Amino acid sequence: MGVCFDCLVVVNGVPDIRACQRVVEPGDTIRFQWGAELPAAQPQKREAAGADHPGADHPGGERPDPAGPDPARPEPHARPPRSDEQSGGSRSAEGEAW
Amino acid sequence: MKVVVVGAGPAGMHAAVAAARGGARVVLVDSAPQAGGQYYRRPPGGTAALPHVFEELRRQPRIEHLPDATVWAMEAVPGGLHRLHVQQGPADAPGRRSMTIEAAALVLATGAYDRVVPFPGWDLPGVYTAGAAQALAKSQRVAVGRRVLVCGTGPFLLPVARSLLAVGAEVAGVLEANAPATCLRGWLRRPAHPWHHRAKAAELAGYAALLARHRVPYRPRTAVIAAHGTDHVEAVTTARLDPDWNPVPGSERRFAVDAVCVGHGFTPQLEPVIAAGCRTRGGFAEVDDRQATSVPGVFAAGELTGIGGADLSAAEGTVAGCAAARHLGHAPDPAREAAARRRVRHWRDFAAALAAAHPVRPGWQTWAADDTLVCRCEEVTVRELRDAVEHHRARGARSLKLLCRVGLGPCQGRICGRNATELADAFLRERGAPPLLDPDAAAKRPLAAPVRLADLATPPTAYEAQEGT
Ligand SMILES: Cc1cc2nc3c(=O)[nH]c(=O)nc-3n(C[C@H](O)[C@H](O)[C@H](O)COP(=O)(O)OP(=O)(O)OC[C@H]3O[C@@H](n4cnc5c(N)ncnc54)[C@H](O)[C@@H]3O)c2cc1C
Repeated sequence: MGVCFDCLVVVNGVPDIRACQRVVEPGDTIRFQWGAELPAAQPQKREAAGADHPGADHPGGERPDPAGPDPARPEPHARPPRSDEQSGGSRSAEGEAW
Repeated sequence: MKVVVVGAGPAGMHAAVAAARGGARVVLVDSAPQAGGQYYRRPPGGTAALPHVFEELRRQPRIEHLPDATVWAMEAVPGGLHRLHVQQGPADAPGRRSMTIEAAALVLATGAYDRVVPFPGWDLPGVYTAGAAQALAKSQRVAVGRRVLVCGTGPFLLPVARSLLAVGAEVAGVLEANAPATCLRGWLRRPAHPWHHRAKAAELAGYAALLARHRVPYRPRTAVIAAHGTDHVEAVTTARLDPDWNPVPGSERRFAVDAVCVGHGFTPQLEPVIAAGCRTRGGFAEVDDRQATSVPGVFAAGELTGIGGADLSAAEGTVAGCAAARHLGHAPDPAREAAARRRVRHWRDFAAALAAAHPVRPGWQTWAADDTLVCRCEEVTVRELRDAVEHHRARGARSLKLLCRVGLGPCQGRICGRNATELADAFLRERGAPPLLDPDAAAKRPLAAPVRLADLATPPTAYEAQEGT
């Protein structure tokens, strides 16, 4: 387990989390991930960098950045996150605790 | 000067304890939240009866265990040291604690993962690796389906069936692809060691009784050769196989199930072995009788060196831990080390018999249809792979990747690497061409785990600086 990357989900706005490896925390917002996605809300200390990102608010159904480093091919039904899915963004700084 | 052990499965735990007992300071780095590896999976904070080594790991003041810590890269630094790049924190989270650890002696014990060969429908939700079904049952008490078929090859299918029954699933059958004659020849090929044969025979009898009690049929020379469904597995086609795993025409049957567990043996997690520059042989880390690799100060133990179960991994771990401590000038207990080496020799015979009894035979290549995905990440079909060989003249694994993108996705060929190599070799053989030039290229991954760009840009702190050592 942990090697196929077929189970990637979006946790608290952060994509590319392996569902089979991540331990759920109370209050986590979790949804399916459809193909390649960019983070909806950046961890606090990188907020500025996230806003600068050219693909941060790409239109629905479009490939965020065809020449981008993400090797995952976006699926045709890739779509931007809805605003209600971005709730929990404030929690996405979970890494800071470590 | 310390020993760093990567992986806290049976091999890594025993290595850490043996090295610490021998007098060395040890840092045990493991990506899982709790020690135990694949074998000792249990619910978080689980109280299941655990062997003594867990207690010793906790008590031993010379061991520091870093849980939730993934080694994502390694490099050699002057002075014969190895520098490990580690991220510690919740799996795949951005902004985890980022550090480097320098090791004067290194024990690699990262284990193995399931191998599955492709068949039509193997990418449907509801098709699980046998190991994943096992892990979900053992650590989350989750059954992957209500009515489940377990198939593939090897004795590992039996504990998977047992775990599924324990969490309330109906097991529709256990299908072993190899013929009883193949299995028998394998098990009898080696001089029998009554010691482990007795233990394993008792275990086998236990499984047989359990399957009988639950009326679970066990079918040799049978496999799932296709899974059907739209959004999820609804049914599978099984077939009788000849000794080479070619389906016997007319033997196909259809079963309604909502999950399938598939296991065709294991592939070692070799990234750190290759990153350290250690020689491999036959797809495993090459080690001597002290578990030393070809690189001085680097030892390997457990399923990295061959597939032989938890007992072999544990014994190899003890030998490797002693050797690593000695490499740093300590003097571990020679009697304990000699006993562990004897156990390693015995279980290696068992491992060799296991490999001979449960081979993966080439007939699986006939199960896949033209449009069956070989590489799931990049959605490369059998037809596209064949085109790359036949029309674009790919002759090496590297050119194969560039021509059809096989193995270039997020899993980096962990799932498809061996299958794609074997398929390509078969296509080359059909054309009278030699096999792929660089068959091991599929296992070369400079990064052992994905890292977010923002985290790459954040300078790590040295573990040594934090610890004041
Ligand atoms: C999913 C799965 C389930 C299994 N279940 C069973 C079972 O129930 N019964 C059975 O008899 N056998 C089982 N096996 C076989 C099992 O692998 C061996 O019996 C035994 O656990 C091998 O011990 P090991 O110490 O070599 O490796 P493992 O037990 O696999 O331990 C390796 C450890 O290394 C860690 N690791 C790997 N890469 C890194 C890295 N880059 N950085 C940091 N840490 C890392 C892993 O998290 C893991 O904790 C299973 C195998 C798999 C793949």
